[in-house]
Amino acid sequence: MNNRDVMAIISARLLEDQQRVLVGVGTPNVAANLAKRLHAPNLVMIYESGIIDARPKKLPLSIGDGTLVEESLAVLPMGELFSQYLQTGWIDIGFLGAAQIDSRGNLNSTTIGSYEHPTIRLAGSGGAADIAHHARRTITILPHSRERFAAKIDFVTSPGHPPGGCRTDGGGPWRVVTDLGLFGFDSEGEMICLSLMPSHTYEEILDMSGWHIPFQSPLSVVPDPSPEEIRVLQSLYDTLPGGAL
Amino acid sequence: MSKLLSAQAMVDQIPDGASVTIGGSSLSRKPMALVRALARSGRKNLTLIVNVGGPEVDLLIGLGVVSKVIYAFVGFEVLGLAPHFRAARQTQQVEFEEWTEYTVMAGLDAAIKRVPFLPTRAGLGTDVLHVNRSFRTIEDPFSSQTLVAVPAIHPDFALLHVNYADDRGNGVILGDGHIDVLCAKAARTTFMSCERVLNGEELQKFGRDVQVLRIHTQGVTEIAWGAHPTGCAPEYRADLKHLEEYIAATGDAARWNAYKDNMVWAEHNQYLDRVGGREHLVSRLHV
Repeated sequence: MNNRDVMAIISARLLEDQQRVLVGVGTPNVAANLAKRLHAPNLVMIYESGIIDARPKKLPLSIGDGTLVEESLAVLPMGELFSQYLQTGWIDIGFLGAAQIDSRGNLNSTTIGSYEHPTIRLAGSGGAADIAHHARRTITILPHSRERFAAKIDFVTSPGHPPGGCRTDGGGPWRVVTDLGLFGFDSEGEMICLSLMPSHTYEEILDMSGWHIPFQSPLSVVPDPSPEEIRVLQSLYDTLPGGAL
Repeated sequence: MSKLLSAQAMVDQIPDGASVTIGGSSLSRKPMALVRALARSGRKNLTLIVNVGGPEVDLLIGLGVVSKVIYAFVGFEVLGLAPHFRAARQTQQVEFEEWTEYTVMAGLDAAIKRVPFLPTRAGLGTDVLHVNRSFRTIEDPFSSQTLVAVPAIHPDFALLHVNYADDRGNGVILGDGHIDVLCAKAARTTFMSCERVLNGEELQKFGRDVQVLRIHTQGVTEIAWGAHPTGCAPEYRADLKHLEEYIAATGDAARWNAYKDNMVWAEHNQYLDRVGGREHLVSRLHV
C-alpha cells in the first residue's frame, strides 16, 4: 500500500450509494471504481467524455478508454453532458485532482511560477474549472506538501469558496484528501482538518502547509484500510496491463 | 459525389497560418496519420484548437510549425505531461490561450449557431479570465448578474479520425464522440480519416452511431491504424509503449531528429512497418 492507495481508499469512503459522481483521471478514477465495488454499487459514475453510468470491468486507463463505453447506460455527446447535465446541477460530486490548493479550495492546474515565465507548465484546466463551478460539491485529492498547500497559489484554475464566506448555493469545495489528512471547510469557507490519515500527526500537517490549517475538535484518525478494501483495490489493479499503475 | 481524397491532397489545401481544430481526446482517436501528413507538408504558423490535446499537439509543437494553441488541456494522461508542449510553454515559443473544456465547446457551439458568443458561469472567480483576453465578463440584461461571454471559435479546418466513413462524408464513431461533431460543424472545411471506408448502404446500418453527417465533410480518406499511437475504440488501445519511446526521444536533439526521420517523414505504410507492422500491432493493441 502506497500513499496513493490509501488516499484512494479514504476518498472512496466519501462517496455514497446512488450519488452521481463526475470522475476525473488518476486517483479519483481509482477511488470511484473502488467505491462502486464496495459500499456504493449503485454509484453513477460519469466520465467527462460523455459516459453516463459506467460499469467498467477493468480499471479504465484514460478518458476515452473503450472499457468505459461497454455496458454504460449512455454515451452522450460531450457538449451535451457539460451544457445540459453538469450546468443544470445534476452532478452530485465532482472529483478533482490539482497541483496546488489554497485555504479556500481554489485549485491550480495551469502553471507553477509566474504565468508569463512558469517553471513548470501543467496540463491546463481540462474540465476542472467547469466542474468546480457546476457540480453540487467537489472532492479534491492531492499529495500534501508545502509547495502544494500554498497560502497563495500561483494560478487559480478552478474556483474555491469566494472571499468572505462559503459559496451561497451550497456548492464548491467539500472535502480534500491528502496523504496526511482529511479536510473540510468551515462556515467561512476556510479549510479545516477533520481527521488525520493513519500514522500521521497534526504537526506534520502544519509543517507541510503554507498556512495554519486549524483542526476540528476532537481530531480523529481515519480508520486504517480494511482487508476488504485492500483486497478489492488489488483486484482492480489486477485488471491493468502489467498489474499496476 | 465522392469526397475521397488522399491525406496529401487534404493537407495541400491547408495554408500557412490556418487554424485547425482536432478531434479525439488526449490518447483517444486523434487523427495522427493526418497530423503527420500535415507535419510533412511544411505548413507553418498554425493555430491549433483542441479541447483535450495530446500527442498531436505535442508533435506539431515539436516540429516548430505551431504559433498558437487554444486549449483546455494538453497531456498524455497516465504517461504524464506532454514534453514539447511543456517546454514550449516554459520558453514562450508558442502563444497559449487558456480555455476550459466547456468553454471550448461553447465557442464552437456559438460559431455553429452563428451568434458572436455564448454566456456561462464557468470561469468566474479564476485567473483564466485574467490571462485569456478573448473572454469578457458581461452583465445579464435581464437580471444584472455577471456572466462570462465565450466568443465564437471559427476554425478554418477540422481534422478527425473515425471508425468508418462512406465516400459521401458520413462518419461512424463507435466509442466516445468527444467533441468531433462540434469540430466538424464549426470548421469551414472538415477532413476525416477512417479505419475503413464502407459503401453508403453498409454505413447507414450503423444508425445512431453515424455521428458526422456529410453536410459537414469535405474530404474522406481510409487510413487503417490512422489514430496510432493513440487508440481507436473499440478496435485498438493507445500504444503506451510507443508513446513512452516518443517521450524519451523528446529529451535529446539527436534522438528527436531520429524519431522525426523514422516516424514523421514516412508514408503511413512505412510508419506502420517501423512501429512493428500490422500483425504485431494487432497482437499488442487489439481489444
